[in-house]
Amino acid sequence: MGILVHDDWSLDRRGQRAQARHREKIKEAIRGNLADIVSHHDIILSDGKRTVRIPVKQLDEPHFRYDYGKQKHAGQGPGQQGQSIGKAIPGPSAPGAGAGDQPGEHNLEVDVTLEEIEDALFSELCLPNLKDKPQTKNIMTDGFDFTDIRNKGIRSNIDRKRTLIEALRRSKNKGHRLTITEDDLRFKTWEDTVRPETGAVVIAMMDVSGSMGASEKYVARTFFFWMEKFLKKQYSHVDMRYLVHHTEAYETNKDTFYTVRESGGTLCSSVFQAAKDLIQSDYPPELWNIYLMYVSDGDNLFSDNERTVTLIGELCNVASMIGYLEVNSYSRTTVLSKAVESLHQPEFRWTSITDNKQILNALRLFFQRKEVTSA
Amino acid sequence: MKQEDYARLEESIAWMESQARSYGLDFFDMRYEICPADVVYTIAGFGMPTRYSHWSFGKQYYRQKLDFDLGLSRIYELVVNNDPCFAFLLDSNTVLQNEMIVAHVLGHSDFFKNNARFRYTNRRMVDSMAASAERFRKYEEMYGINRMEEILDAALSIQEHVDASWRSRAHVPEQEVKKAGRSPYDDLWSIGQPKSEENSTRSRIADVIRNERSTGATRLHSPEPGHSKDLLMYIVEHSRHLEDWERDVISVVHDEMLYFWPQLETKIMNEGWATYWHTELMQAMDLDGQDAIDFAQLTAGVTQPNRYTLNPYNVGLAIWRDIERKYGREKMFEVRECESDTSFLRNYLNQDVVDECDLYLYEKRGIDWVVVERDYEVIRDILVQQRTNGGFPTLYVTNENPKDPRGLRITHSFEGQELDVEYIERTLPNVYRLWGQPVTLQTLVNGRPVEFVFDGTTTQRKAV
Repeated sequence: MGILVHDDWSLDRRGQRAQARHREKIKEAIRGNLADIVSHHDIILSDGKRTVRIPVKQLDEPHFRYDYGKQKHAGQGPGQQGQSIGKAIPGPSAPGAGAGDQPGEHNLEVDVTLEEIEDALFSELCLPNLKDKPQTKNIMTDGFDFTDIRNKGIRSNIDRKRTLIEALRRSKNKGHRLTITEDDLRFKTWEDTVRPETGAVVIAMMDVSGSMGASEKYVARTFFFWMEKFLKKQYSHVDMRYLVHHTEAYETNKDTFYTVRESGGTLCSSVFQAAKDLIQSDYPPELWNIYLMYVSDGDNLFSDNERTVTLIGELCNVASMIGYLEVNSYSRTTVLSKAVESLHQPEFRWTSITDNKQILNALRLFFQRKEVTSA
Repeated sequence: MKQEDYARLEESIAWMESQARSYGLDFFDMRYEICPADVVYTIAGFGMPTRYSHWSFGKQYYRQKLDFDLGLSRIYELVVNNDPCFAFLLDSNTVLQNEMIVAHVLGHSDFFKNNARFRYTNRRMVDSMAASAERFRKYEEMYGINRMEEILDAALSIQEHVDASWRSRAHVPEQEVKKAGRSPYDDLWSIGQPKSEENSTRSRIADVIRNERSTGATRLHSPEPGHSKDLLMYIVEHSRHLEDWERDVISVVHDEMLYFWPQLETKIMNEGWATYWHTELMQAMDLDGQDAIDFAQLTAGVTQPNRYTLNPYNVGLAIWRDIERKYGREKMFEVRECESDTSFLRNYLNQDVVDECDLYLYEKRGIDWVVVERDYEVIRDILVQQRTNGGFPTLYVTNENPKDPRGLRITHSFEGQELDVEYIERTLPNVYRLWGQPVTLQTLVNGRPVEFVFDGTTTQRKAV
């Protein structure tokens, strides 16, 4: 009859090793697909989930294969002819959805952690225009260094080399063979190292007048999502403040920021004035690294341009960066884009993008190293 | 399984094997390995217990493991077509689950041993794969992990394009047993010597390489003039771009695919057969109350229908039961010997089965997947068409000759199902990697003949 075997398999690591290689391939694929991945809705709406399931086609081994969408497929269950059994468009995957929960091909999707995406993305980005903040807000302890040698201390910190040198010196002077006495012992001592706590504030500003639609706001949301994450990697403390405007500007919370929609006209200067006021009241520039980021579709009242440009110019003196991200689906030349062309301060950066596939490029542009040339 | 369960399992195995024989099942000697989940998923990911390593196996492994950790996976049956036949049982299963798996794999083992499609499969594949894996490790040391991965990536991406037909396999000796520890080039020593009995694929390759060098051309798999369906072997034989070790890697991929091929061709039959017999055996075992309930639940889980795909356990079982009802058990044994999924469906999928299994066809209409067919004849014909050639598109090499200055030409034998264009564009560079010259694929897109040409840098698409 058959044999029943119960061997020790504990050394079999092939699965894990092959999986590790697969993980590396995922990382490569993330780098290669960053533009798609950073704008993937599952990530932006992940709300603290640490892994997201995203389609990475490069990781599906290429084959000559039939076009799934053009084939008929067999299924089992109730249903009349003509009855729909599922959506053929990809959407956010249901939590815990496994193979077979939906038609189509789930093997194209991989689980990636936000860290993996961040690693790939942030390795390309730099903080621009870092300015010295001489009056630091706080002092925080950040570890310690061994800096000095003393002859009192705790045993675990004995400096063996120096103790031996002392012992040698003393023994030699006295002319007898090497012994180590209590007096020879030398101890390393340490000091706390401190570094100033650097804080940064992002003032997120958006035009919420009627012309800004859902897709423009999605672009804004995606951009701010990564901007906040990136700055949090760089600074121990990041404040996010949200300002919206139509003809007037006001502060909102995060949720309202992305959902509010106002009718009426557009006065861009209002939001820059509000930002200036906010900085004056809450964020003294000598303590804070200030990042202003404005998203708009580029509409403005023509007569307001001059005032807007003047305000941006003033803000350049206090901010590390002022970014203007124009979401412009039809690549037309806008009122505001014409106006800001006259600005040449290195702190000011702007770009115009048509859709969320270009968010990566925008991030690269805003967070590239380009130092302030004038003081 | 608890410690005291092992004795019960051993007893059940003895009982089930003798009971199965009394039913007429004829299986290989069995070897049941009890192992932890991680090992079972490794083997499932790799496809075999002794196979070489590749990242795509790691992907499968991870997927299995994830499903296991999330509690999504059904209990696992993992059985290897080999003599002796290996079955892997999870140590975390209950003893009842493992009993059911034993009963189930007895059906598979019988099927492996007796179904005609498996006649030419290597029954010492576990050893052969161990030997190839060992050679691959040496190649990795000699040529570097990157080159190894590159050649494997390329070969695996066209691994389905072999010729597993009886005509091509009948003159291939039944099996080749590679002894572990041989050097990768041992074949070469036999060049010029009378052929030994062990006329392996690899020594045939060596012959081909030698013949080609001396006479200029040889055809191995297509003795008559015509076009080769075996893209992998054509490349092994005729590519002037490969080193010998690379040819070896590709021919291992080729041989392993030939080994797996009958399993692809008999999925529905084989799973249905195993499910039929595990049910018979378990019911004969006279389970007590709780075990009977658990068993009913397990079987329901395995045969649970799925909205979006045909469950081979469910449909296979239904067809076998239908055959038994209409033609008797003796007929079942005849069918298990002679048929494969295509003929099994063609001959025995009828309206009764379609109704019992609630089978339908669905397709994409706009943004919805929509049920479009309930008629058994249409369902049957589509299923047969889709299972032809293991479910893969049939391609032929249609070069004038291997030195065709236009490079390698591949023609898709179009039978109503179009290829995925994006995947064509991603796969052609892999073929180029193996052939070293431009590669052309001809197929139909939206009903019109189109050629895709990869010239080493870009893929161009031309109407023909």
